[in-house]
Amino acid sequence: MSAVATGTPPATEEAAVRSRQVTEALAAVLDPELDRPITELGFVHGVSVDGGRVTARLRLPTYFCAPNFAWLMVDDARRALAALEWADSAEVVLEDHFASDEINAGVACGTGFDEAFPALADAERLDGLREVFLRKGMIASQGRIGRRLLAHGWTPQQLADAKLGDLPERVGLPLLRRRRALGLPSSTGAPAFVDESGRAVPASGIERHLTLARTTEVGIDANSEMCKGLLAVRYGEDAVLPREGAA
Amino acid sequence: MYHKDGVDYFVVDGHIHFWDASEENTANKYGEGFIRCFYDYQRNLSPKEWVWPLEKFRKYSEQDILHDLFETGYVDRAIFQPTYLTEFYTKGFNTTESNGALARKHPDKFIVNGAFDPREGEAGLDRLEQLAEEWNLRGRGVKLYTAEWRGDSKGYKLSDPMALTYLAKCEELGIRNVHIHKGPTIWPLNRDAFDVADVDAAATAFPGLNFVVEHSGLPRLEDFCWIATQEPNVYAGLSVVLPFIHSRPRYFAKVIGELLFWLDEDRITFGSDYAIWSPKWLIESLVDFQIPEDMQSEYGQLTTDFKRKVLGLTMARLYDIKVPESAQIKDAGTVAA
Repeated sequence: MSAVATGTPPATEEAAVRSRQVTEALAAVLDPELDRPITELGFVHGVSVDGGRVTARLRLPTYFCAPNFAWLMVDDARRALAALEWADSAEVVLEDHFASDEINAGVACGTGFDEAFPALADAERLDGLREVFLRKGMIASQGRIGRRLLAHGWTPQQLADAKLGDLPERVGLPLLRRRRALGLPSSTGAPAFVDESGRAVPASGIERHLTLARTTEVGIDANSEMCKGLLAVRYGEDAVLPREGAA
Repeated sequence: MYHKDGVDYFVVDGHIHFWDASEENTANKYGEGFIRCFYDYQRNLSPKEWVWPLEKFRKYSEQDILHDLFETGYVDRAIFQPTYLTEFYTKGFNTTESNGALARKHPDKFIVNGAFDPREGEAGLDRLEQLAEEWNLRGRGVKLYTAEWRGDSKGYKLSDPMALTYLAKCEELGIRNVHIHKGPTIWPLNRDAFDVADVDAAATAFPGLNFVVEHSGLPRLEDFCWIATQEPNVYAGLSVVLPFIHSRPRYFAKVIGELLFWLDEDRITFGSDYAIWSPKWLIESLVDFQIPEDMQSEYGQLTTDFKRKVLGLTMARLYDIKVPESAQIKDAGTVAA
């Protein structure tokens, strides 16, 4: 490749831009079970960009992390990197995992999980799992938004009437992403507070909806609280950002 | 018995093991993965001085368990919850028989529970009957591990017709308490089998049985709470939940707060999951614990009586264990189940 010939910025600046784009792309990859970006969880151990060739190295909290979840993250990360316009080749390497070889090879070749792990496949149903977690994440996300809006003086009626377009952009973005991924209505005119199947929640049901969403969030957090500790046990305290005490 | 600030806490540890994951007994990489996953749990959530060397963790002695539970751990009675895992461990991981041998030597300390697997079909029903007779399970319980592998099967549901037949058999045999492992995924067990929805059907069908959901269904807390609000015979077991109290106290406050919100204080029970965690530090921590002030508007406070119920009184009620006068709650509104 030639940066000069195509009129793109000088090489060092271009490299900086690309490396930032890589980080952004990986930030959109969620740990399916924890419902949080792998970048925030400390799972991205390193990235390198060499012209159009991008490589990311991932590491997980335990050597025996469930292979299905590891697979999902490696696969999602590879897709996210391959989608970068300038990427000619995208490789994601899972380090230090008992199934690193199978996962790295399988994801690189586009093999299905079932083929790579015939003994585990029958009951795993990967896509179903991914969807379950997305739905939980979608509900939990509404809980966070709803409580914030109530604290700002919104009434349950206003929440029930709210459309996605009424939510402040930064607040609404994580919800929007999950709604899109689930194939639920995600236009600005769609109701903001919906149940698992996308039906609008009436004003009378808002309080219960938000409470159940809060409980859902505490449940999801069980995994992330556990995993953060496990990552620290394995790679030292600096491996993860502390979260206890954060809002 | 634990004494603190003039209060007596009668302690029933509702969830303990006497396992063998020694290298000789570990049959394959799945057994290896399972015990290492357990070990990571201990290393992760225990105070440093409570982390064992891996060798000891794989197989500990009778002396260890007696010391950690009864000599220093304040436990009055402890309940063995067997986990067979015969596909991973040659002689099984933690069986009724290996638990029971210890319980026979110390009948005043241990209660041994049985187990069944509905995939054993009709033949298993007879085995359950023999087990109940041999280990005197009347008035006691069984531990179920719905995620356990068996041949090509990677788990079963409590709502399966055969599982319901087994539960009917339990009722007939006078087995009263059904402990079900519904918790975090432990590789290589399949997480679908930890789904809690099947408890709902079983609890509705058998109002006379108590269903103790070990690990409170984490991370499927909302599903578990939802079921528990509708089924009065469903209980929350705190093993795995309580150890968060040390390194993640605010998170523990949230979980206990949610449980109290959806259930009531008579349906939340203590279990250490020994030898993953040891009762001494868990009990001391819980008695000293309070919901952080900034979270109290949402979750309220934990009372001394609540802690007494959690640590022993509720489980004593489920298992008909006599509680010394000094540890009883005066004017308790609850009656024996």
